[in-house]
Amino acid sequence: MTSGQGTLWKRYALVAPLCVTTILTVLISLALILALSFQTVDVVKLFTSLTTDAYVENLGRPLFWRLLWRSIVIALAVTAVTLLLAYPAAYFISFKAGRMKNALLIVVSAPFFTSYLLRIFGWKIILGYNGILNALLVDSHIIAEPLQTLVYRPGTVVVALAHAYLAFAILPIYVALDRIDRSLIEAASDLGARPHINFLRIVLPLSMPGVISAALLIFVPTVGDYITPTLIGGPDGAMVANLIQSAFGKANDWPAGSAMSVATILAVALPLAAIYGLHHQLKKRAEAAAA
Amino acid sequence: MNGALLRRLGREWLWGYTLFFAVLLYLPSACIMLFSFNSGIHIKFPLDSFTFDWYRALAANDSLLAAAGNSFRVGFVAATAATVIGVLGGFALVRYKLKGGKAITGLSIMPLLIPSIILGIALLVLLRVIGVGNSLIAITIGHVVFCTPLSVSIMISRFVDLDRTLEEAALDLGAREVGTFLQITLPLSASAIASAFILCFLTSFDEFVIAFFLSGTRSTLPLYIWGQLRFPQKLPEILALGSCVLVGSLILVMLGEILRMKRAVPQ
Amino acid sequence: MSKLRGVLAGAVAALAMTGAAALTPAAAQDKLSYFTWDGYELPDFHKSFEAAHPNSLDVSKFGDDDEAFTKVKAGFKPDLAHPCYDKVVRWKDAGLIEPMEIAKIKNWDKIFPTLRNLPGLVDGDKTWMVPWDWGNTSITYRTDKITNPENSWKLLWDKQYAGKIAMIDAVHDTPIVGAMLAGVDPFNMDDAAIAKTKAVLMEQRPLVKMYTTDLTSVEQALASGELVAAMTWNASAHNLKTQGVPVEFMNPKEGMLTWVCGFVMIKDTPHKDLAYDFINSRLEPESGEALVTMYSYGTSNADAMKAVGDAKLKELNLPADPDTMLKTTVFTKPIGNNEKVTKMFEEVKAGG
Repeated sequence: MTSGQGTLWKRYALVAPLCVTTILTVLISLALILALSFQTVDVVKLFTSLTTDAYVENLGRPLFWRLLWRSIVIALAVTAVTLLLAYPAAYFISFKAGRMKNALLIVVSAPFFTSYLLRIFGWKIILGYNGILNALLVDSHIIAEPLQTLVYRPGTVVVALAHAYLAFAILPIYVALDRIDRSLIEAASDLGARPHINFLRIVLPLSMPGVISAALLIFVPTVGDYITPTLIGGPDGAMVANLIQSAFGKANDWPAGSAMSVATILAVALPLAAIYGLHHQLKKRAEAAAA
Repeated sequence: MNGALLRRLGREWLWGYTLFFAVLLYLPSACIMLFSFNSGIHIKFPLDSFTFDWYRALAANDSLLAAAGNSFRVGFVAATAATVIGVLGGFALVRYKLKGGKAITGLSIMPLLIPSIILGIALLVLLRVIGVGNSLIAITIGHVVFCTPLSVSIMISRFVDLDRTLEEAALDLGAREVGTFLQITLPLSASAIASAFILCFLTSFDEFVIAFFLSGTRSTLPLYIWGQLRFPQKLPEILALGSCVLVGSLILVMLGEILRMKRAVPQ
Repeated sequence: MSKLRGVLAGAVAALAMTGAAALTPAAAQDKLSYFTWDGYELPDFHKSFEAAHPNSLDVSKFGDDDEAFTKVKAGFKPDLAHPCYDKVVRWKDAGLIEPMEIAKIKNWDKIFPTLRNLPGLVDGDKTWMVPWDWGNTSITYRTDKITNPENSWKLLWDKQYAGKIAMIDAVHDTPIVGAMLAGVDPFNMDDAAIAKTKAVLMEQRPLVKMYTTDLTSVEQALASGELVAAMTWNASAHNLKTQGVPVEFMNPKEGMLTWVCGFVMIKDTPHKDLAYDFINSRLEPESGEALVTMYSYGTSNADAMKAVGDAKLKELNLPADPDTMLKTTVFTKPIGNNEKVTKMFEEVKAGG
């Protein structure tokens, strides 16, 4: 296709709305948060004068770092649990499901798009004091009294969040597994490789790009979640986004909320950038292997 | 013999595991449905008697129906806009080797990579600066931002898979680019477009955090549900509502996924 | 490509039009925009307004009046809002509201004198809020699990109930009780007093299962026995009793908390006449009676309380006359140093 200057301009015009809604909006949003974080607290006006007070005051509190650390630990736990649970299912669907493939994929990915708030409530029904799990345990005489400790704990947050992202995580993993050239595995088998060797040497490495993109898509929203801890986390399940949310809401200290947001984004972005670089390398290698 | 048995065991194990996985996924939703038919207000075992009352109350609840209507409208407009943006952008990114195209493809998932709470706050300030106050329109704009990464990635993978021979044949026969796009490319991608629309619609329908910050006089369904949590007597009604939403969105999402998987060209 | 541009422009225009049509309420300009607590928008509370101005009310709701403040401060402009007394000074200082014209409020004289003379609501000749609803905050406890406790807020600090206690997640509730037990003036805390209060709240924190305003979960948990005592509003105790759960609403020796909320006029609203019609409709005895019987909270109109009847009021844990009650309870007035107290409480909840 030939493309003169005019056509080229029009082609970019097709991409323009996409750039505006995603990239530009996000960049402006981040810039705004950054600008806000250097403001003084003023109950009436937003943009007043420049200061680093918000950083000094909020990042000086051990509380912030403790919650940030807890959020990262919870998010890592959620990511690990989700990947471990989703991988075998994705593997089964891609390699063994045969004609059931598409149907199964639909069945396991559908719940992701159903009401999140309600699913948290569903977990309360299961794990609550009078919930299903306690009822089962008491009825089968495993315990005498219902357990108090199943809900309103950091662990409950992990369970609910991992469940929320399971249906989502399976998709990128499945896509990566499905792209693996089956003849590679057959060739290895013909050469006498045992199935588990095949899996460790060929399938697992080649599916890593999918695993890593799933990890990214779970980890990032999890670190910033505040709804789940609010509803079922209990006092010890509070996460850093709860602090940020209360600064923007009840405490009405937007610079504080912004400063904590900036610190959180930086603290999370640096390791993520490293993972992303790794991701890129692996993808290149996978493409080279496939070619 | 032994190896065959092991292989079979491995297969059965995976089957069993996948089944367990699927049950686990649907468990919380199933509980909500179960209790929406329970006559008692308290969530506890054993269940009280079976009732349809909460569903009846639902149909008579005006503010709930208004919130549901708002969610439908916001979802419809946001999904339409996000899909149009995704189709045009995805097509240009795949077909024309634009400079910076790869970077744009990579960066377009950015809205998914910053916590919604930060996006919500930033959009609140941003929209205020450009003169859009808290309203359904503000929520819709927020949801377009939130849904576009989804529609773009669906459309990009469809356009990559699309058999180009038909497009090229049309161009060789003298059809103009626009005509080819409208008469060949779009119809061939119809199922993916529908799927992008449905998934965007459901994402918007379920979105809470951004809507929380951008809502004005009228609320969406998740905001309504959130607000009702302080009224214990309303809980069974919320569970009934939840069951309807869950069943409705499951049907929609399955439809969307079926469409997404349909091959571009039947073989 | 020009055709594509045409298609594009057409699509954008069509989208913009359907979008605008779908999202903009018809003639929203003529409606009264009322910003209130979730659940306080029910038409039973202003029947005469509905009759006189059908379809003239646009309701937005909030779950917490601090959040409401943030939203209005951020540029959201309703005509009439419904915060509580302790927050009104904040709204006033931020320049968000304007004084009420008392002459336009018909039943002003029927409002309990204590409520219409609250310091801060009235300063000089300016009245900033028209009180409408009030209620008590205290401990709801299971009488079968806690027998004959000492009537004191200290019950919520008792270690034998560790993990079975819930507190309300609001600055004007939990920190006030903390300050009372710390022996400082809850409404005038300096840094030292805030530190003392914080110590008291931190002592309690390990016992607390949840800090929440999700009263659904609290009532469910009290009914199931997951919780044995919780800080609640008086309505919760009544709800649970009606359902046959053995609970009592305590009258602690340190005093229950009493809150009062009401209407404030947002500055420069174009719909003042509608706003006054609405307030007048809410102040009719019939409206107040609906509030009391439906939600078990008190209303500001003395005639409305009389109409409910003493027997019913007693059942609801409400006094017939708040003027006498207010002598024994702690009124949640504006909290001095609000920002610092809020931050302190946020820290306590998050773990110190």
